[in-house]
Amino acid sequence: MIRHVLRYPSARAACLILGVVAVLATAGPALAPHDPLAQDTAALLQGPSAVHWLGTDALGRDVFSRLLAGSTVSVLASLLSVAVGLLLGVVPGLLSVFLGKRFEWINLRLIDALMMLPFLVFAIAMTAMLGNGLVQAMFAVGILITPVFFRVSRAAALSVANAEYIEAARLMGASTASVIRRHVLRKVVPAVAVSAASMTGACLSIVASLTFLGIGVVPPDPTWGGLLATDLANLYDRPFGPIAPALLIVATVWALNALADAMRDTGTDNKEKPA
Amino acid sequence: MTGNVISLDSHVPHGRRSEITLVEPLLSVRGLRITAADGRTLVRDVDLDLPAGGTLGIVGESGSGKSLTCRAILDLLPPGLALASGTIRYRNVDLSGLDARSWRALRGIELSAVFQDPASYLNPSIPVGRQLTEAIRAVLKLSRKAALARALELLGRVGFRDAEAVYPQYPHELSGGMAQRVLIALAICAGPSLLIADEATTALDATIQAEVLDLIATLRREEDLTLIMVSHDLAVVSQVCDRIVVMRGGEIVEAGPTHSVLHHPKSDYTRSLIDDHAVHTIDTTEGRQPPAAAPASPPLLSVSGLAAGYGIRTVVQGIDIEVAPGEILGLIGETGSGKTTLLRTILGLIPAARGAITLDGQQIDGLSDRRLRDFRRSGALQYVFQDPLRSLDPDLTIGESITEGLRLQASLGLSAMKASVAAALVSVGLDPQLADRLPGQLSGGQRQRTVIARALALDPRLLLLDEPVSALDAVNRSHVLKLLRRLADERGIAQIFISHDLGSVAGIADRVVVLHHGEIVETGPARMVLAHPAHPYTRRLLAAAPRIPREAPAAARPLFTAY
Repeated sequence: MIRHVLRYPSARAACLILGVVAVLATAGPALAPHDPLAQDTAALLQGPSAVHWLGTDALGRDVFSRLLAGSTVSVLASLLSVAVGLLLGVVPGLLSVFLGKRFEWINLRLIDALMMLPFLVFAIAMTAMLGNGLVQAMFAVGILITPVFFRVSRAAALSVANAEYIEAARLMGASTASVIRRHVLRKVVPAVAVSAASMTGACLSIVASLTFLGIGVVPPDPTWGGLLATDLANLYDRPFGPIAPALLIVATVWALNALADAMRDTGTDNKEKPA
Repeated sequence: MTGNVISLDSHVPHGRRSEITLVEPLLSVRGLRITAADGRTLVRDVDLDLPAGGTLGIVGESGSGKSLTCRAILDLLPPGLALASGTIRYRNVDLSGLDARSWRALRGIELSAVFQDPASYLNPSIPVGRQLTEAIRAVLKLSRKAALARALELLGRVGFRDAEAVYPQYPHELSGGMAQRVLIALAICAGPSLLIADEATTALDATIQAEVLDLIATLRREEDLTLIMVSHDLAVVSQVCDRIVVMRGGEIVEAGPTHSVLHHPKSDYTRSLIDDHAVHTIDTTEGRQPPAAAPASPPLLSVSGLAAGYGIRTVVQGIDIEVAPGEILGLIGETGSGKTTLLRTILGLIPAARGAITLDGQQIDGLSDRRLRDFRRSGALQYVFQDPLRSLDPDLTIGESITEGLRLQASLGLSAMKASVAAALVSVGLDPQLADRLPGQLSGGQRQRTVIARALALDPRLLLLDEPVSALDAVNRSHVLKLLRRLADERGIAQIFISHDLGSVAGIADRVVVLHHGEIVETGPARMVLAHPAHPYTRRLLAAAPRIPREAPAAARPLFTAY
């Protein structure tokens, strides 16, 4: 699968970007040339220089260091949402196909209800209720993207649920669990992987939106979205300021979507190949 | 009108062919060569000549290139395949030089075709009559009213007694035979000169197949059609065609007038096709003796007073069947006669409304979920599906598929697992090395053996087989049938064998049961029933089965015996 995906030039570029982002997320704070929280009142709102590659903000903090330090939180937060969404979406999505009409009906109605909720408003309400933390906010986002994973995994499972080889397995005495493990999971994983990649991108921009609004992260801690917000506040003094965080967000989201597209295309290509 | 007007051999090596043609051929194919994108040659050196009004049969197993040849004539090669060399001339025009616009004016109008699976060529959301009218309007530029009249007339011509009743029906409301008639009406609506029937009757029951073949033959005479008939079944082709071309592995192995191909075959392959047909032809004199011990031993499977169906609809009723160990019971009937419903009830997939089913004295109907699962894990009762490709998980290797039931039974070690896979593959005559392949990489015959191997791995007492050979060509069919017979004789595995093809049942069954409208109309030793059918329905089924004529065909022999 990986080799097939990498045939696409866009997928290769996406992997390169995601590799860089992964390095930033794991080693970002250590790589930062300055303390991201250290204020230097002698150098406020400076432009790029040899010392401060991306200049300094209104409190004299090094923007480049803050960008690196903010990577961990931004990336981990979006991964957390996707993990929550996967867990809450895929498991009931598969079971809804195999566990009978009543279970299916309840699940479908719950998912319908979730789909009505608006993302940002729900996340803000959750943090208002559970306390202003990124974990709470991303948990809320994770719940909200559950329908995507539910639908995708359910559709993939439905497409094989009536296959003769599943009936053959049942006739050999296979339980639902072993049918799912041996026959269904393989068909579901590619589809779910595609939506996981694109959802990670979506969550990344949601994290950015939330932190931009000041939700989930308390001020001195840097995040990509938070940087964008402070940069926008000082747009008059540092007009180029928002470019770096915005570019990072856009590039990462693009890379995730490009990867998702490439994975989807390889999936369909393989299906179109005659047996 | 017979092809004997032109005595030109359809396949003569290049450079030596005589140039004597008495009649200008309508269609002439020279040195046809079709290659795939990866460089494989799929069809090579195919020469065909077809005079106006002639009938040509192309026979071969799947993958022999017979369908590709026809598709090349229609310029409908699947993507990735290309005409590498050769010429196709129709009415002395080279078809390879035509552009898309010329093709549109030719295909479906001058050259027309009918394919195997009629339902997939009809739009499921539009009534068939309207689809026909639209086609007529598109090609003949008729007014709405005139097209409607023509459509009704065509529906009548293809054998619908009440054309107006068929007109508003949707494809799913039609049976396979009816849908094929509609497609034939579509194919002839513009009055084509050449009709290609590619496995047009393969998916149909014997009686329906006979009717559709009859229709094609009648239309050919009345509409003055030139016909190319493609089939894996030599008997089908020999009934309609004057000349036969036998293909294998992309090449023509034999060509000539039907009579001489059938009775004086030059190639060994043709001879094997004819012989294989004879093995399970109804006329076979070599019937099987019922097992001597049959009356003494208690039945393995016993079904009594069984009735079952879907919801309130009863599909089968009053079924009494007994199967002894090592006995093969043939279950015969047309589509809709309840054969598959009966098997599914025995398997516990459909609850029995009345009656009892016992296997080895143990009741197997009406079990609780848990006891049913335990019974299934014992492996005593195994089912072989009709379509092996669909009953094998495309993502699992052959070995993984075969061990599926074993894994559920007991925790075997890896080496024991491998050994049992190898043993199962060997027992069905496959190379154990195939265990690492995926189903898509096997041929149809290999796949069907794999499915049988999967059942055998569990050491079953009774095998239920649903049309296990209907998707196979003659050669593979006879191999699988021989394998099944051997399993019954050597391992004592009893079998219930469903088929609409009387020939395959006659070859291996000890006893047959004939089902009609969900009830047993006749039962007895296979040889008896097939030689001296008592029930009119059985006689009708027998009469409809295609067979290779024993005698030289008379010039105007009736195509089918009336029934």
